Amino acid sequence: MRNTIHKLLQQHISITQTAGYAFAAVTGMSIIFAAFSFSTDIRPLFAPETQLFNREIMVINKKVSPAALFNSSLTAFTDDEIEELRQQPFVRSLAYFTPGRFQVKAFTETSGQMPRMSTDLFFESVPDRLIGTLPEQWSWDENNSVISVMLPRDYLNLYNFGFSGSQGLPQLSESIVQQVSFKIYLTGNGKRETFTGKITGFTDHLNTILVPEAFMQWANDRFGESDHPSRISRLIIEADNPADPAIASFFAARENYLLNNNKGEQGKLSYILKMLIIIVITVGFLILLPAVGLMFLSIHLLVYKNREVLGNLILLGYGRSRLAMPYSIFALALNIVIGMFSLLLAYYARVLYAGKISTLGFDLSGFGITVVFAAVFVWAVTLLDILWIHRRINRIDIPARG
Amino acid sequence: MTKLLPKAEVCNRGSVMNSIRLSGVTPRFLSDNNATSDIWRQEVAFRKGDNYLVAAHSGSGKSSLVAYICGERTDYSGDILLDDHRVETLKPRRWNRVRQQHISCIFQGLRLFADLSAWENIVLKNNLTNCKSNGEIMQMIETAGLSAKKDEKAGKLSFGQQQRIAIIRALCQPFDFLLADEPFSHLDDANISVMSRMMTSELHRQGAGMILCSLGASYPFAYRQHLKL
Repeated sequence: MRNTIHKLLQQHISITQTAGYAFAAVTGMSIIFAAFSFSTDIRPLFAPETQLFNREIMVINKKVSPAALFNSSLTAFTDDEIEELRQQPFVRSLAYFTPGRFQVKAFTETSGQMPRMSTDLFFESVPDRLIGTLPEQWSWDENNSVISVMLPRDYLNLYNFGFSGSQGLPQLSESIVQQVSFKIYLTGNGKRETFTGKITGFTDHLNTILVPEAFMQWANDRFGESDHPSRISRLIIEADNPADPAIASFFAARENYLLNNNKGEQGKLSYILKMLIIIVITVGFLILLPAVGLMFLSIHLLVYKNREVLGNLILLGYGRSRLAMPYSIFALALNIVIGMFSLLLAYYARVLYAGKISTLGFDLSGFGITVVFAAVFVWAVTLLDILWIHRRINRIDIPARG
Repeated sequence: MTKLLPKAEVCNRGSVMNSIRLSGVTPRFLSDNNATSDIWRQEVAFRKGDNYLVAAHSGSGKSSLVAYICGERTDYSGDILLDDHRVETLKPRRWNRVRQQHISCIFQGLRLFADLSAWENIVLKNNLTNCKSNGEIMQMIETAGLSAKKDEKAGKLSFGQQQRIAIIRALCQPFDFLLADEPFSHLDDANISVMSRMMTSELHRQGAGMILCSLGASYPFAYRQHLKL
């Protein structure tokens, strides 16, 4: 008997309008679903959690201008400037390089493999938590007198691929370098002392010669020249997302700041991709919105054409919400078909781009999240339709006057 | 209440409406007409269990009376009370209950669905309350002499046949009042006799009252009161 009501109320459903809505809605929804699927698929490329810890760290210094030749304080950061940076939303924490205020000389004792070398050096330290993976011996014990040192990996590369070849010297692997100890000679504050140094690790992102912070404090106390100014000229920023476009715009406005951000280029790429996805989704909505408008208009016309039948049913004792049911079911069924068809098209698009993306060497995340998104989306559109149906049916006069 | 009366006789329902009262009701289109009337501008009470004949000329507001009581139109001044509830205060949900269980109408314009069969038209109403069994409905159709027409579209039937279908439909629900607006206008005497007996029997069974509007004919019912509109 339910069928009788449906038969009665679904009179006047226009096939042309329904087909027009379906076509436009499938176009809009498949674009939106495909863009959504694409954005979830490429997210791993830019997601902070999959990046190595050290990549979230950026080093900032000021440009060295010709004037700095006479006034080295020009490259130091003032307290205000540091505070301003600390206030930026993209800064999770801020730290700085502590320079050693003493003279450092390193030399090797003659051995079979290593050439005899001697060089002036400098040390800096940063808080341990910014170093990423700490070497095992990364500690300082006054009684031990072995200083753990980390070098930028680039230094070793310079030696291996530049210097050693031209000088006929052997190339050194990281593990060999880590086995070799050398002497370190510290001078300052009227004191001089010799220590054993050991290279315990290499860094990719901190372009300096690092010693443990504990050692630096101890050594600065002991050898630090009291008249040696302690300036902060390099800052380390830990960012939540190094690809955040806010970072690029902040530094674009401060020309004398130099930002060493590995993610800078990727940040721009990510930004452009996000913009593209937003544009595509907008286009999808621009197609979908008139479609939903058409659906609303069709519902309006349908209820209007059936107003007499609806009015008579109300006079027989049928409730309005019961009368809305056949239309709601029709809208739901139609939208489910449209949603599934759009999902199918989006999946096909994904198959097309999946091959190209997989050559970049990362796995696509699942399509499941897009299916969930599509289900929620279709339900939301249907809910709008249903609300509109109820609204139209509640507006019916019983019967149309006259 | 349902415990006191056999279920089959009253179609299952909870409450009963005992009166329909009109207090100073005047259709707007008659507001400057001072012709005497037993209903307009009067205090009138219709009691459950009694039949009332409302005789009227064309254009005196006969169909309006039915339309006002069943909540179809509100272009009047004064008050209509179903028991003690002013109809203007009834919520849509309450109106559904009134139309399903308390007041049944035979409209002058019938309000059948032309695209549905005679059978479907009746069942559409019966389906709201499942008041009658299919067998009972068949029996009524047969009594009305329409067995052969039950599967034809209502729109294809003659007006007289449609009138009989509309009457049967109105009887397929529990009601305290039957509002009949010229229900026999296109029926011959034989059919009037059959249909009025069917109505009387259902009125008795349900203990209901009837307000019958007619252009003059009185038809074979026992009336408590004759009213001139």
